[in-house]
Amino acid sequence: MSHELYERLRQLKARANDDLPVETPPNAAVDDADRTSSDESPPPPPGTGTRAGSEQSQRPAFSETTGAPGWSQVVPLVYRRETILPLPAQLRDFESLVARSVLLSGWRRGPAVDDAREDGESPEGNIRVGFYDTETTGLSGGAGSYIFLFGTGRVSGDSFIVEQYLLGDYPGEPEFISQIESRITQFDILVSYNGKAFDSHLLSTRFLMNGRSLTLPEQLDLLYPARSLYRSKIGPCGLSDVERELLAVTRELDVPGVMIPGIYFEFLRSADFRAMESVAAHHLEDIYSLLRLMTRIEHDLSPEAQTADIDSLKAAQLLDRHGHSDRARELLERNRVRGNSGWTEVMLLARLYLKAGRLSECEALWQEEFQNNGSVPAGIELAKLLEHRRRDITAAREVVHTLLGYQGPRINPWREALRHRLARLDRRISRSGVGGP
Amino acid sequence: MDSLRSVLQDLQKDADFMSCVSRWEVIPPKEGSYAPLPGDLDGRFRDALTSRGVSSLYSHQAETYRIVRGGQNVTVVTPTASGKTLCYNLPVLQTLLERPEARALYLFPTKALSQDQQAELNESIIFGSLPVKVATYDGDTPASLRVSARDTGQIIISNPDMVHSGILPNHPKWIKFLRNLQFVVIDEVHTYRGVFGSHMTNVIRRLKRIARFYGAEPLFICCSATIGNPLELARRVIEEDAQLVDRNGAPSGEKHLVLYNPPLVDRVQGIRRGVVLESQKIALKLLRAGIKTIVFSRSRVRTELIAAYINESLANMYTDNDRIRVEPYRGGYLPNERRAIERGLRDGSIRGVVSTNALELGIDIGGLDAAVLAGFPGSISSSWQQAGRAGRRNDLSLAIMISSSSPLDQYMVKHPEYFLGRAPESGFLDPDNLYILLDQLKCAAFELPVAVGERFGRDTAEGLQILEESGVIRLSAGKYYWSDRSYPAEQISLRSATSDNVVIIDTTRGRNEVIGEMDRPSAKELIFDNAIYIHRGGQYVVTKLDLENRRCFVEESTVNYYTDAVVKRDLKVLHEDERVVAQGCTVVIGDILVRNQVAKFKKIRFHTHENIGYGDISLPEEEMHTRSIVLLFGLDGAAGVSLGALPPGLTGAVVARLGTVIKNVAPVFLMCDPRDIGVAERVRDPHFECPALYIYDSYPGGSGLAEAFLSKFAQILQAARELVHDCPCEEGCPSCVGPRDPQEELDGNPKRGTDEFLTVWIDAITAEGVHES
Repeated sequence: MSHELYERLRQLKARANDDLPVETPPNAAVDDADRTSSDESPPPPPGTGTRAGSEQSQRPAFSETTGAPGWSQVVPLVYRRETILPLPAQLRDFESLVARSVLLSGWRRGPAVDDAREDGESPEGNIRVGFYDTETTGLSGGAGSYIFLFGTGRVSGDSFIVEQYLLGDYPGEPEFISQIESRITQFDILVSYNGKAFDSHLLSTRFLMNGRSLTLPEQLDLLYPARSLYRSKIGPCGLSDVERELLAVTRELDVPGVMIPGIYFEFLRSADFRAMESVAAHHLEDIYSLLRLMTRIEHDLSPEAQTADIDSLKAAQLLDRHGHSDRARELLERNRVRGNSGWTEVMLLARLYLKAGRLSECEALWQEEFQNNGSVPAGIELAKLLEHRRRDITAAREVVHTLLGYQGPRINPWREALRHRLARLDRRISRSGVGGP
Repeated sequence: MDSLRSVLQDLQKDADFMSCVSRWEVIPPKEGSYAPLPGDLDGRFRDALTSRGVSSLYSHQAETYRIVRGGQNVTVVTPTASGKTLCYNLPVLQTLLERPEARALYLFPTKALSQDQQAELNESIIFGSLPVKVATYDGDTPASLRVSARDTGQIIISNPDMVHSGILPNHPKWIKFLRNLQFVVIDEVHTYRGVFGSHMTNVIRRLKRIARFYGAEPLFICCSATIGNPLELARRVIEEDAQLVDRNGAPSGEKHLVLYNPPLVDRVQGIRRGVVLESQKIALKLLRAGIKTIVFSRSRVRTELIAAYINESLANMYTDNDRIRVEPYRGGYLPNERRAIERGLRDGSIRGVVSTNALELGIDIGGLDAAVLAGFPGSISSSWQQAGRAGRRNDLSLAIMISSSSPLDQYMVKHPEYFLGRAPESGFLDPDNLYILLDQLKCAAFELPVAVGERFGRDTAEGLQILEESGVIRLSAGKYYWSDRSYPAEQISLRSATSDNVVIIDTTRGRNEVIGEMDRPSAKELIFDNAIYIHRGGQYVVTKLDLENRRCFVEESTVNYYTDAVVKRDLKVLHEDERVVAQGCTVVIGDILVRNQVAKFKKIRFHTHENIGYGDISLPEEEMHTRSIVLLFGLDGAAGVSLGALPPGLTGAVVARLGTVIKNVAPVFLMCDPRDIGVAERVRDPHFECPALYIYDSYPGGSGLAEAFLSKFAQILQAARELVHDCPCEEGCPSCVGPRDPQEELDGNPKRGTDEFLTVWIDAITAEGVHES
């Protein structure tokens, strides 16, 4: 391969870089005018070599003197810092939140409780809830996306304690993930935002890439309940949307997510921990928001909540899915009184009645929809209930007969099925000798 | 096959027909060579085979089995319908039955055609009765099935693009599969040539690298159609040694090969009957005699036309010939339509098919008795592939090539000894092309950090250095780590062709039904507004081509014409990087824009094919930004002086001929495929203001061929001169400067002119060189 070709490729690269938006790390020099190509970037600070990449080992070693402000080195290339945030009044009583939690109800009485007791650290009977988040070098996943910042948060008394681990450079990854493992195994449940589809997959990938495997604790991904409850109200449910629309959180000097990988790559080149400050702050805020959001969701699902902000059908489904059928039923009943139930709500309410063995209330519901609103599907459900549960074939036939008397397009899709039903009911009536009309 | 025998006898007695035949070659039948089923074959497998009537193997199947079971890579070269699939299924399945945890990867070059067909066949025919799980994993596999494909598929059927962008970058998800990867089957290995092949070699490098990471070292089983250098090409793709199996044990019947030149309708102007009508006539004769026939045509429109004409002719007969069903077949049909046609051909309910080269390879359509090639397919190996579609085990078969009026077709039909004696084309690739290597190195680094000193292609260390300087990888503690937020495989395409498709929607009477699809560049030429689109014999008019949303709306129509777009190609110099003087010629290297513009279309009446009008097309040009070198023949250099000495009426033709010769010889030096380079001559270039020859890279953005050309310029020039000088032809042939078009009026013999141009030019620079030293 000729020398010219290499030169040509270098020029190509330079040109390609020009087309990309130049990412400015927050602490970069103010004067950007000269940053026209990668070959002409401002000279690096003294002691870091003449040109990035032109030397075999351009990383300056971290020393006690240059230091890593706020961070302490756990093992080479792995850094840790702990931040204690005092909790405002509404976030303080986490223990009772967990005790009353809808989202955690599936796990609350699980075997994890026993482990917790043995461990001796968590209060008796409580599960250890950890909030976690990662920052990564790429958003598409895959073997070449690295986690470089990992953090957990937990409530302790009136404080929220966030521990963050930072990967100082790639070769530190084996130790980095060991630290991650030792952190997450202290929890029974990990709360995340989109962790099921993203962070946990990336964690498994990183472990596999290092020839290890990871068993993650149970995960509660807040994305799914948040989407169910709030999408109809606030639209897209990214964490920042949720913060802005629901949690009244505004981030003044926050670094945009798309810039984060670039800042980390810059940090790798400069080894300047100040470069990472904005990212670490962003990451910490993300973890704190998990607590805020979880508190908000639990509040919106509680019986005393004003349900105007949430999608009540989705809320009822969520309550039902987490084993709170009674509360789901109550929510739908309250809504029904207010007159804002759609067909799906009615169906769900009816199912909840049946599940609770409240046959009469279910029948009354269908009757009302059928008699007052002339609903064809309600009539059909009523006929089914009368035939199969009440064993009142005559009454069932009466309903079907009435339905078939309807005119117009609303009955057309059902007509064929109704005729079959009528014929079958008639057969049963004649077989059992019960008189028809 | 008695009916074919009698048709052949009739034709031989038909003086008019025979006057058009330039060669009638009879290839005698060949006995099959058989071997018993291997002794170590699992009982279940043996039963499955014998219950399907397979009680012995062809010798090449047994030989492949022995080699693979002996732990060696193999390359099998076999003609169509010689039991190729069993060659690899036999050792793979046997191993999977012995070791159910073992895994195999089957790679087919295209997703759409051969692969899903393979999946269907494999699953139904052999695997149905064996406890082996097969899964297809490609762009069409729904997300819901991907997980189970990964976790439970013992054989994964996929394509290189999917391995490149889906499997390898996510290899931790494939750990179970990759850890046990024992076989990689590469079917149609001859398609991995040029830029595509160079990428393929690198994908295989990456696959081996990741397999090694998980402790696996797979064997490779390659299958190739007949090309000039199958073993060499396979070795280049897998970069390992392989045994060659090329003695076909399958029997073959007597085969007749006929070269046919349609009769002259105008002797003075030398106009011949058209290839469409002539092919239709001959196909009809065969079909009516009950002979199962395939017609290969060179374009989608012709495919539809020939099929429609045949069906019209059949419909006119008041006989029971109605039961003869003939279908067109081409890319762009819906998968289930294609499957139905393939099935119909296998079970015999479809008696005839008119196809583009889509049916040339791979797809099992059962045996056919006659193949009609409507025009020379463009390469010797394609011709043999298509001709090979006719002929079942021991039966008589016919392949007839009908030449069009193009100079190349006319040369082939008039020089049968050339056509028959020419070896199939060879395939070349250059995996260490720096452009390709760099792209692939990015992907490799993304997948697993690259250790200093690790070898990945020839210039690994330099490549890594360039990537590090550009900032996408980072060197730390002896390893290069991917250090960019992008997912490199997503931005790197293995092929030059775009994968963008336009869906064709029938809106007749509010129907709103997808009837087919077409790639975007073709859509501009075939389904522009007001175009007539023919789909399986049905005629539609395009109401709106919505390129932005990749949709084309059509309605049924009943006009008496079809449409043909007039495509104009135009080159524009975007940026001159460098001007060097090399070999007595100024050479410019830089970026150009290749634009294909369709601005007009012709309306052509069915049957008579007369032009009955024009229409306008207003569509954006299809643009490709690429790298090119331009040879300038100004009078300031030896080349220009030599050219200027020729008669003025010959210079344009000679520059064009030089382009053809270069296209013929350059692939050998650049290790690429002729399709990877484009050539365009300018008698007087408006930009450079002198005669010029553009030699450009057909891969968008360039793949390093223009640069490589410059470094091999002297050798290519020398080879071009030798080729032209030593070629025994008179006025030019496909091997050298290209056949002469009788319509072209020239001031002399273009081949002699080219020879003289090159000789004077090279002598001048040689003398100069001597003088200088």
